Parts: sequence; structure tokens; C-alpha cells
Amino acid sequence: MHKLIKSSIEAAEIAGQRFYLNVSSRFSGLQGGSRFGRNTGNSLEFLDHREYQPGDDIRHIDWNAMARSDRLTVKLFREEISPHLDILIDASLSMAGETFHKGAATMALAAMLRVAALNSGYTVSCWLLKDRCRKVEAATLPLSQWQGADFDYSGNVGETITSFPPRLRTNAVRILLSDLFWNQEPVSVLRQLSDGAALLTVVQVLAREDVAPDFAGNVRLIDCETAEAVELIADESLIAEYLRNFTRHQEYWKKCCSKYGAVFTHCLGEQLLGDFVPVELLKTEIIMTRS
Amino acid sequence: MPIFMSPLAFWGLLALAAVTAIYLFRRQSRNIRVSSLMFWSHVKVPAEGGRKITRLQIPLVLVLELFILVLLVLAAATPRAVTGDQLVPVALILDDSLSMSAGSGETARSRALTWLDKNILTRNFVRLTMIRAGVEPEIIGRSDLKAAEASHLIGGWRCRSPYSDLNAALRNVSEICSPDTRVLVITDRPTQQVLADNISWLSFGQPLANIAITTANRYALGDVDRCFFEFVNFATAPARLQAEIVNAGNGTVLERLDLELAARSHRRVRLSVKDTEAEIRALVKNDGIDYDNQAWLLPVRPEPVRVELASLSARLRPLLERTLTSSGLAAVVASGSHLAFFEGAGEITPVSGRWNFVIHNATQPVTVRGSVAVDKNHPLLGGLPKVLAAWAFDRNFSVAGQPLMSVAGVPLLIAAEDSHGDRTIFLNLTADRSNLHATAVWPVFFWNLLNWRQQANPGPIQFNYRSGMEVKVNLPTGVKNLKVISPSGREAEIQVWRRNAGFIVREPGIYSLQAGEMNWKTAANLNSVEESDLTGLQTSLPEIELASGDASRYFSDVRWWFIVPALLLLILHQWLLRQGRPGHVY
Repeated sequence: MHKLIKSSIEAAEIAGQRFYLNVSSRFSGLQGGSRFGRNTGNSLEFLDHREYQPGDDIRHIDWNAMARSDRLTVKLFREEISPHLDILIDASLSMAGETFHKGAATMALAAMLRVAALNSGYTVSCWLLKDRCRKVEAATLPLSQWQGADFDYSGNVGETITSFPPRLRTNAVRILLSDLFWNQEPVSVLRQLSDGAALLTVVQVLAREDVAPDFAGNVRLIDCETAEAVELIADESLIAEYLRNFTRHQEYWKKCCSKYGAVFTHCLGEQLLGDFVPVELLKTEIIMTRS
Repeated sequence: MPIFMSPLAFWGLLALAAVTAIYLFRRQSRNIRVSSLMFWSHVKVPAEGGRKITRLQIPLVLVLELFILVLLVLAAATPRAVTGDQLVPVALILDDSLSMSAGSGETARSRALTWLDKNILTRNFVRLTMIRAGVEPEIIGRSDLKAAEASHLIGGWRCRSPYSDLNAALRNVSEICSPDTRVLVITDRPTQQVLADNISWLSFGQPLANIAITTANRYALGDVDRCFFEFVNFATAPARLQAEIVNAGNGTVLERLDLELAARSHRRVRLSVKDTEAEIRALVKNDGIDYDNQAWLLPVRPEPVRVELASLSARLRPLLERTLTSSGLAAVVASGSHLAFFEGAGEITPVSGRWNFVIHNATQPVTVRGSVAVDKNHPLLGGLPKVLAAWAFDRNFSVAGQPLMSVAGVPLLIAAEDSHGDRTIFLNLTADRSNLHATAVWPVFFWNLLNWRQQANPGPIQFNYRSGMEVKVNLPTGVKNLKVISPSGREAEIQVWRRNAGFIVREPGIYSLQAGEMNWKTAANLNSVEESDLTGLQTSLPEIELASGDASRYFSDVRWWFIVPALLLLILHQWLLRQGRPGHVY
């Protein structure tokens, strides 16, 4: 494991202590579980009274209170959840990139999510997406101690997901960490991942050179996965054309995520490695800061 | 082809190497690893494997830049070229004499044409005036020919003139061309003249040996014709002369010559030909230069003037008949005359084509002896001796016409002409009181009269000419054109003006003349020592540079030839950069 990645994971695991994974039913499903959620639910532990509203379960009507006050009142109970988080990590070569910032940020994000999920009582599974979707067996270990957590796959991760889908737990929160730089129809990937998920979140982890290529003149671009090369005269118009293509791709992923009820967000590797605050992820309220 | 006034500017071509070096340097691509190439669209795919040699891909933009640089360097070198009206004026005076075509195989003309093709007619910066210098200078085509046009028209220079008046051609050039015109005289012999700076004398001749007939002449002498021929050996060595003089009508050989002629010596032959109607021809048989190997002598005796004397009195008729007959020019006839004599104007009956001569007899004449005013320029009075006779005349005589002789204001001789050109001559003379007929004036006057009348007869004035002379032909009223067929068979229509037509015979040989039903023949003989003596021909070709010296001022600044294309290429260059696909390697 690259030392930047290793150091980033260690820093992220410390930083992850500040966050917790949102445990609302929105994120954890409606099935019962071993933990109380922060919202109302179907557990036996009383939470509060409130006036009946159409749609409320009539089994929760407090008949005694109605007799006393002549008003239809329902009892609210704390929800009972059994949260689980599946983190799917794109382990292709493109995630390492030239500077390893993207790979380090991905692993840091995974480490933060893992810690935040543990903070919220989630169970966590991690998957490395290579030629197969391999579950990291020792998921309870810190990420820095994972074996085989290298970004070395040169194939199409999207193809792996659709061809060899991971056996994910139902009603779990699933978070895909990838740069999405693969030629696979997002619909097929999202259909596969959202099937049975309480919530699917797609985090596009990017390096600065992905969102703002900084070169000009004659360049020979080499695909770090396929080693294919092209020669170009890079100028403003070419960069603009690249950004248009990139934005179009990103927007298409957003649109597809919206279609499948998934949350799409992105994360800039260099920024995350700077302060270890996943700003975009916080905006989605998937993880939240502990008070 | 432009010339460059600032050749140092060509050092600017080093910029090409600099641009190319910069290009090649910039073409050294930096390797950059990217996450994926999927967003780098419109890329130029490198050559596929399997090819050992990949063609160097030169971008269009670089080619344009190099072109622009070359054009700008050329413009900076201050190019000048001859354009449009600024063509260098050149006048070619082409010697059209026969000697230019002398020789077997290569002639002075052919050598001159080769030289002109190489040095003049391929130069696009000249404006040519071609003058054929023959008997008279003639412009070939126009006076501002392009080289290509001149090349096409120079075939009209055939060297058929009996002589070449080069000085007349030079005068002609000085009149029709500007003073800065470069004049090239194309001839076959050198000149001793001091030439102006703008005149170049180019001679293409080579000395040749030649035997020629330099003189051929025929005249009437009593009942026979005398013919005279001169054969000359124009060579520096003796030569054999084989020649014949024949009667071309029946083929009879009149004289055969086979003798040795010393260098530059001559042999003259005189013949008396009894057959005055015979066509005599002389031919040199052993000489290679044809144009002076033959001479023709046609009959020289014109038709006698038919004279009608019937109206004269018995006193005058014998006197005049004897006078006219003794001239040898007249034949007395009873009718159908060319000239009729009358005593008194009242007796004249007008006849078309007939001249009338009226002797005015006075009943009471006045006689003078002394000076008589005479117009000696008139054909009637040419060569007339001084009038010292007693002349009896009518002092009151007056008639419309041109007075040719007069005394004390009284006309003695008057010539009048009617609208058809027929003449009436009035002689104010009372013959029986005068002794004019006993003086020398009398036969001379009537010989002049008959000669004048004879020359007014239809037909050529004479029949044997030297080449270059003008043939004058009298024609009857109503004839508008004279058809002339040259010895080489070329036909020409000559317009008749006031019953006369004239043309210059250039080509030696027999010319046929036709006017309606009438036919005549005339002969033209070269008879030119200058054209036959080819020993003095030389080749002299001074160096000529049309575009040097003063001629350079005809070159105008043509920087725009290069700047305008450079600007257009620059626009194209910018357009390619702006309109081209991003990152496309041009």
C-alpha cells in the first residue's frame, strides 16, 4: 500500500470520529432491528403522544387518552433499526492516478465512513471492486491493515458490477466510491446496486487533474489503465471540450441516480486530504457531525 | 521573372529553419498520465502498428506559416518585374532582302530566327515592333506586339525584297517608336555607320560564292530588238559559267555560254533579236543561289498610236503624216484612232477614248518671232528646244484649258481634259504663215504628243523592270481593279485610281496583269549587284542585354505579388486555428 494512502487512512480514521452515519429510517429501512433510531418507529419503547393524522396505524391509538380527553390521540414509539453499511470501493488503476491523491482520498473516505458508521451502530462491509467484487473479510480491522487493498485493476469496474454483482445485504446502506471513469451504462450499474438497498449513494471521487486539467501545448496523454496514448495540442478550447464531456458524463450519472433514488455526490481528493472534512457528503446528510 | 533589389533580405529565410526548429521542439510531447481518455474526444489516433515507416505528418498550419515566411522574405527582397505597360520596347528591323535567304540549308534568315527565338521572342518582358525592311519599311502586325504574338507573326518575314532600305527603316523606327526603344537591326552584313546607343546591328551572314545575272536590258533598234545581259562571278576564286539565252516562246537557244570566269569578273552578252515579239530568257545553270540566276526580257515595243488625219486639209495632212510616221510611234488609220487631228474646233466629233488635236488656223494671223513662254514640265513640252520660229497665230484665240505655250498673253498651245480623261490639244498656229514645222521644235513636239498618247493607252507603261520599281498601268474607263499574279502565283487586286494603277515588283520573274478582258505581262529582274555579291557577308553578334542599364526602369515594384498572398494565407491560417476542432493536430 502506498504510504500516502496508508497515512491518509490513519488520519481519516481519526477524523472519522467526529462523524456518525445518519440512522434515520430514511437511511436504515423500516424493518426492525437491534438499535433504536432517532425517529419514531415500531419498537415497544414509548416516545410521545400526538394527535391522530390520517394514515397513522390505528393500533397505536391511545384509547385511554381518548376517553379522558375525547380527542383521538396516537402513541409514538421509538424506531428500531438494524443498520448496515456496504462500502464499495473502485480499485481500478484510475483511482490511484498519477499522484495517488484520488486513491488516498477514496481510502480515507472509506475509513471515515466506516468509523462514522460504527459510531452510529452500523455494521460495515467493504467491497473491493476489481475483476470480481471481493468482500474484505477483516472489515472490522482498520483499513490500513487490509490486505490487497491496492488500486491495480485495469479492467472495467462497471462491467464487474453488472457481470459479477456482489452479494449485498438487503435494506443496507450502500455507498459506491469511484471516479466512474469507465465505459459502462450507469443504468445497469445502478439497477444492480439499488436493488434491495435502503439507500444507495454514489460518491464520485475525483482528483484535481480530473476536474481541472492543467497542461498546455503538445502532450501525450496516457491512459493509466489501458496505457493507450494520444497526442494532442492542448489549449483552452481542448480543455473546455474535455470539461464539457466530463460534465456531460457526470450529469448523466446524476440523472440516472435520481431515477433510481440514489444519492449522487462527489468528493475532491486533494480537498479531502487537506482537512478530512467530506463537505459534499455532509451536505447530503449521509454522515453528520457529532455534537 | 522578378529581380530582387535587396538580396540581403534572403537571410530572412533562416527564419524558416527557426520556425521549423521551434515546431519540432514543441512537437516533443510531454507524457501525461490521465485517469481515462474517455473525455478527450477528437483525438488523432496514432498510426497503427505493423508499419515500419510512418510518414512524417506535417501540419497544415506549419506549412502555411512557412509559406507566409517565404512570401514575406521575398517581399522584403524588393522584387521588381516588368509588368503590363512597362514592357521594354524593342524594335526589330528585319532585313527583307533576298540575300538573307541565300545559301543551301542554313541561311542568314534561319540563323537570325534561331537567335531571335532564343534571345528575344522568349522574353515576356518586351514589347516588340517588327519592321520588315524591304523596298519600303513595313510594320509586321502591330507596333506593340507581345513576344508570343511576334513569334507567331515573324513568319511573314520571307526575305523576298530586291533590296533592303535599312536606313529608311531606321528613320521609320525613329518616327513611330519612343526614343528609349531598343532597336535591333537584323541583317546579313556589317555596317560602317556610327550607330546611336540604342541601336544594335546584328549580322548573320556568311560569305558565299555566287554567279549572277546583274544586268538584263532590251530596247528597240529599228526592226530588231537589242538584248543585253551581264554575268558576274562574285567569288574570290575562278568559276565555271554555264548559261543559256533562249527564246522562251519556241525554246530556241540564242546563245550558250560555257566558259571560265575569273574571280570577280564579268561576261557581257549582246544579242539582236529579230522577233520583236519574242520573250527572251537568260539562265545560269550551274549556280546554287537561285534568285539571281534568271532574267526575263519581254517585248518592249508598245502598240503604235493610231492616228486619224482625214479631217485635215491637203496642205497640213502630208506634213503631219510625214512627221508622225517618222516618229515610229504612230500608224495612220481611217477610223478607230487613238488620236484625231482637226482644223478648227467645230469639226470635232467626240469619241470616247480618243484624243483630239485641233490646229486653229486664223484668217488674219499675227506673226511673232521671239520668246515664247513654255511650260517645260508638261509631257508635251519636255525636251523641247528653244522656239525661234516665226509663229503666226490668232491673237483673239481663247478656249478653256491649260495654256502650255503663250506669247504676249495669247495662248499658243492649250491642253484641255474632259470628264472621261480624254484630252483635246489646241495649237494656235496658222501653218502656212509660219515656219515652225521647219524647226527642231516640230518633230520633238509631235514625238512628245505621240509618246504622251501612247502612255495613256491601256497597259503597262513599260514591260521590263528592275525589282523594286513601280509598275504603272493605264487602264480604260470603267475598270476598277487590276489583278496581278506574281511569279510565285500570289494574286493581288490593285485598285484603279483615275485610270491608273501601280504596284511595286519585288519578286523577280514574270507578272501577269489582268483587267477585264485585257491581259498583259511584265518582267521583273533582280539586276542587283548588292544582293548578288555575297562575299562581304559577315556574322557579328554583339552582346545584348535587354533588361540591363536603362531598361531596368521598366521594372516596377511587385512586392504586392508576395504580400497579398501572404495576407490571404495569414487569414487562412487564423481561420484554421479558430475554426478547427480543439486539439486537432493540423
